[in-house]
Amino acid sequence: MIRRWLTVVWAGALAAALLGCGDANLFDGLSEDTSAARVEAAKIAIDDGRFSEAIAILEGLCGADTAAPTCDDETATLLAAAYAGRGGLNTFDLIPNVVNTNSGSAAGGFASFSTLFLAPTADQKNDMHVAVAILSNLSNPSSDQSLQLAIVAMTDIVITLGVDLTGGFQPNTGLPNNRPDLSTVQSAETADQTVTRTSEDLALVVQGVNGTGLVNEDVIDDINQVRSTMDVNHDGTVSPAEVQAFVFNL
Amino acid sequence: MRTPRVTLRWLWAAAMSVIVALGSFGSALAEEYPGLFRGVRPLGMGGAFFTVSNDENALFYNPAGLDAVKGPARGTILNPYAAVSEHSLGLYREIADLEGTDEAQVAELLNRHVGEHQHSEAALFPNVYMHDFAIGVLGRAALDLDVRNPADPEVATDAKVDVAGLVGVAHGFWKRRFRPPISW
Repeated sequence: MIRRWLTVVWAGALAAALLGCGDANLFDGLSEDTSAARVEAAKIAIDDGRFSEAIAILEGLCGADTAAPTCDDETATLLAAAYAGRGGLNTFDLIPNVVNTNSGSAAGGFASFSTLFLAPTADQKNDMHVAVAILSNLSNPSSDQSLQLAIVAMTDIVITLGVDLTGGFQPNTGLPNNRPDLSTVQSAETADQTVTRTSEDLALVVQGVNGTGLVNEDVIDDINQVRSTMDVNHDGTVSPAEVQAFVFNL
Repeated sequence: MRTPRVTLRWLWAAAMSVIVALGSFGSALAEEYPGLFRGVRPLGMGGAFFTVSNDENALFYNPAGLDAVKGPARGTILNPYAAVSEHSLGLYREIADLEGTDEAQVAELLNRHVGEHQHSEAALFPNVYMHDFAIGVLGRAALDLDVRNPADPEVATDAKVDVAGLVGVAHGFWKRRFRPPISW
């Protein structure tokens, strides 16, 4: 009789130990969130440089409509990072540039970015544009997401100018290979909306910089130098003449 | 017509089938189970230690194994343990070679270690164990570090300090076919 009671008590204690009251018990695995697993797979792909694979995984969660992603802001930001990564942005490479360049000039600030994209391509331009679109549609961006928007939008400006106007940039200095005249800029605007796009990016750069709450940071200094020099009359937009003058005077 | 008899043996088999099925389903979906402590002997044996589990490590792996411990009580006073991942050794050397806290050098260093998992751990586990019973105290400090996402950098650190008292008991029933364990 005692042995039977002992068995019952032991079985009860065993059940309590298995089910547990804490976070980790035998049944935890049953509630595994598969979307979390897919996000982690995408993060690993980004770490490995397999950006296209990461984009495919994340678009399975967020959809392809950048204006209305079907995922949360964190996942959308990761998708933007995958596009920016495929477009050639490596922020770890950017940091030494912004630390080491002369932040007192627009040319120095521009070169921090342009030396990373000496021969930009149309594919890079498209990827960076998608990254900008995703980040600009976040509903309530954090300080980090705002900084990311400022950096990606600035990169988009550099790549756009490099592809549409300058034929890339010179090694070491990051200065333009070609310096376009006004008619070339106007033609590029007609063909590719180069100035419109640059103007929109510049507005997003301002939005991102303001959202970070950061001042006196090297990367913010570089971005501000470019933005204030390009937007000569400080009206928040740039004209073909302003773009031409900026590139010509780098 | 003969009515099938439901015996303890049938119940035992059914219960074990459910537990095994739940365990298999869970492991197919779940991430690695977060281990509080991983002993040297169990690590050397891989997953096989779960089936033996006849020393102090039973407290973390399978306390049912305490029922298989034979002989007098045994124990260790400090039982030190240290672990450093292969990548971490390289990272520590590079950190030691850094000159000051130059941001550019730090960025280049982090860029070289994107996607690597860094893990360092040290622990003391004094304990006593005997047939059907074990008791121990664990003091453990661990640091995990991951550098991720070069396009939108993230440096995730996870530092943990654990101090725990552990007790495990086990007892065999039905000629030791059933050895339910409990550990706290």
